[in-house]
Amino acid sequence: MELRNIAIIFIKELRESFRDRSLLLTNFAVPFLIVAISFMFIPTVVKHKVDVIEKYVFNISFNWKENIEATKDTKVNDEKKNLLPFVYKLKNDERITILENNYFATEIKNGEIERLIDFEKEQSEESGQLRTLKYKKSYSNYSENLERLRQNISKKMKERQVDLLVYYKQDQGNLIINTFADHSSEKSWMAQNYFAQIVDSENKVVVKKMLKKIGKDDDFFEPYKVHRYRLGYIDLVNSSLSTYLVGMFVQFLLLLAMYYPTINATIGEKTKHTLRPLLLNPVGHVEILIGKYLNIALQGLIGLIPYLLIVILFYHLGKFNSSSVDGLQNLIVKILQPETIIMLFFSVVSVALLISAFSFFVTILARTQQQAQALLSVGMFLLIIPNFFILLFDIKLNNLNVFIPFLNFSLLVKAQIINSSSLLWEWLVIIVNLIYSLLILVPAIQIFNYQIVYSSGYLSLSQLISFKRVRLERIDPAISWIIFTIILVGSIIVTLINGAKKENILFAFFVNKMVLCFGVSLFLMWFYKLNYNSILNLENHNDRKRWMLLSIIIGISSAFFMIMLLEHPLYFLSANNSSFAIATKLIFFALLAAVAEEIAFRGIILKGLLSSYPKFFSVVVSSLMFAVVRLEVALFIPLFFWGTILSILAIKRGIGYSIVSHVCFNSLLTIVYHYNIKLSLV
Amino acid sequence: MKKNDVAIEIRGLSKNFHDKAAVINLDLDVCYGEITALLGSNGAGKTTTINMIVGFLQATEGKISISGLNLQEEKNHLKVKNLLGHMGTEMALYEKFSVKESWELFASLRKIEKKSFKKRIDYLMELFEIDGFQNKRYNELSSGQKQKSLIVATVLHDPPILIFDEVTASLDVITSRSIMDFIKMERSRGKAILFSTHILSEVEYLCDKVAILHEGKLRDVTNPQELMKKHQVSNMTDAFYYAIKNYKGE
Repeated sequence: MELRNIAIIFIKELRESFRDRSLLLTNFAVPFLIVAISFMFIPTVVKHKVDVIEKYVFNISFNWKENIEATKDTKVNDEKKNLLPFVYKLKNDERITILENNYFATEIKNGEIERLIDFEKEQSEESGQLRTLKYKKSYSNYSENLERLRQNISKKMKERQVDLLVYYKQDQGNLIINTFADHSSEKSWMAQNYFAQIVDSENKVVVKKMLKKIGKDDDFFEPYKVHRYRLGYIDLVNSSLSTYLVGMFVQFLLLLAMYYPTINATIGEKTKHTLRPLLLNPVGHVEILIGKYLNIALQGLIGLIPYLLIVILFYHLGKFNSSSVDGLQNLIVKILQPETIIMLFFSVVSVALLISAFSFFVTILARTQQQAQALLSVGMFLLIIPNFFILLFDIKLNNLNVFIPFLNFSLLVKAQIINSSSLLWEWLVIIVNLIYSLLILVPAIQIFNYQIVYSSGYLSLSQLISFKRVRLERIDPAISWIIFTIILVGSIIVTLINGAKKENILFAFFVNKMVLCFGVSLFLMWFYKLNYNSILNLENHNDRKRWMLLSIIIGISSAFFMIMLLEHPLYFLSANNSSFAIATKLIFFALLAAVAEEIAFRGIILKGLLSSYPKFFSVVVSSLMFAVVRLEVALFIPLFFWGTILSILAIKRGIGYSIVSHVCFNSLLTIVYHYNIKLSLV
Repeated sequence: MKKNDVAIEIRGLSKNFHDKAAVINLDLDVCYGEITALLGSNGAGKTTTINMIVGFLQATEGKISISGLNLQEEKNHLKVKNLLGHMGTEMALYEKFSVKESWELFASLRKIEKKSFKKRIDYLMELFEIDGFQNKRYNELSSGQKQKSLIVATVLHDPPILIFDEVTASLDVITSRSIMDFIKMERSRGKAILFSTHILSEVEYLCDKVAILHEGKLRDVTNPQELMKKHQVSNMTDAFYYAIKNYKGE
């Protein structure tokens, strides 16, 4: 084995990779764009940034080892022998006994217990609210109540200049401790942070475990000191969508970064017939494999750079972690130390190397690109299995990540079926995929969780990749990538600007859904042998100006009809009324979304149908698809008619006119809803 | 490398794909200073035989020696690669590289010095009338230009043994004639050439020896003139036609 040969092969692969446009896009342009955007919006996300904390000492003056006793105190309650009451001694020799279903809290100020609150005895709004919380989700206004309680407590704490409210209850023999902090106060927030460290990151403590811990280390609950740690506080409530989106998307990019180089280096060389001339040279197979692997690993590491930037970002801002105990959102900030950062990065590097080795050797086994695709799908599925099992232990309804492995399965099945394709099978696969996405997305709308955007984005992306790789080799991948990137980045920007509200998530979802339509329509485009030129050609008629004017009038008047007859259906357009927001709405919703929709529905679907079916059928089917995609019952009929009008325009004079009309329509809607102009008759 | 020395010695060569025999017990000698044609209808086993010689496939049974180096011994694999120049179907240069960059890559893998590489390239470019397209990317070339650039990549190291598998298929007369002239010239330099084609006029024009494969078996080793004489025809196409017909009739 000669190092020189390995180096030559490696350099050759590297040069090939750098000349590959789609690779440049997936490995450089998209990740860096996303990181750049996430950096741009950090000021809106980060509320407090504590630069260097020299010393913060809270003399929490009770000794846990002595003061918490877990005994079967039959004197206290004879009737409930199986319940363990907790006897809790305070500094001034006051004793409280915490039984099942009774609540206490202590106020802590400058490390001292300021006041003891017995919620059973005290009759205040605050304690009333706390009591109702034990009914949890069966209580209908649970979340509203919780929010009101939070505000209330925060206000009270501010008035009384209390750092921390520690709230105790017993649940099936465990002492449960919750803390409330006033997040506008740095000191209060630090106190909570410290307390959280004491009682374990889950903010839930089993007393026996605690005592064991204390037995091991006497200093554990000593008054603490925090020295020179950089910390930040990320406002989870208002920014969960954006921060999670960025982090998770970057994880996915890591896999993506290796997707193209792997396929190019293995099956790509086989199908392009370049492998044989290479093999004729006096180079060993092992040398070729190592050289190629080095390049793939390098690509993976390049894909990691954005990840590293995110890690550094969190180092400077502090790590965030959300946990909910009894549904109360608490914020725990863990301190990240430099060693942890380095370890974290290196663990990710090793993961990258491992994944690249895995995908490389998997694709070597493939004989065709379809096979490689299928094998990689299985590979990705295997890689996600550990996540799946983690979730199994604590499955929450909003963890839609669990669906993702199934997605990979569907990709695998699809790749296999399309491989042995008959028309019937292909349509079946597309329908199954659409049903599948509906299965994920419909409950997700109800939950409206940030996960959904991630899942649907992932879904769209996988669809796009699989369609392109399996079937659409004739279509320039760069174009589909550019469109996808614009739409995705657009949805991120819009959600970030407007804050993570239900309407915005729906909008991001809608945009993602649209990308999915693109995947399907690209397939149709291949199937009916259309190309971009034939779709976008503006036909040269003499009456061009007249039709253009007509298109504008149709667009504007249809928009007026819709505004007057419907009750504000597009909520996301009225969120955030800054001038920057209107600009993004106009660019992404009014312009790009309209163009994208027209290309998909009129340019590809309608035109494809027209080549095989009569006009009436084609117009009805494409308009139905156009209307259904919104998944909004109220919009179904108006959109169906609107789609029909656009279809007629596109058939009569070409897609250019329907684009103009659609842009006018969307622009008017944007302006009216953004400025809340009242035109509705309903 | 003396004239009539054996360049490729094949003894008892067999290849099975699963249970199907593609090549059965083949014995053949390819000598230096000779052009040997490997003929046969589609699926006769020509390409399989060539793939075994150049090392893309492993023989199920039998022995191949190249200039006395036995291919069964693994240490010989890399040595043999310096002796062989092979151009066959399903070959291409890199799409992302210009033709010249691909040549440079192969030259560096073959450890050809820069000076001698330049000399060799200038000579080959003049020979194949490559004017300007060496700086274009491979996928921008016409099929004739592609074949020419591939043949240059094949013979960069001036190998003593050349193996061509249907190189002139789908080429125009002028381009294929330039390749055939090159092959003739290499013979005059004492090289051993194994050549497979479906264009039988080329065989008549070029070859000293004809080996006819039928259904994996070597049926005849003769020369073009004798083959024509045997079937009493005046051109190779007819001769080959009657030969195959005879085998089928047996």
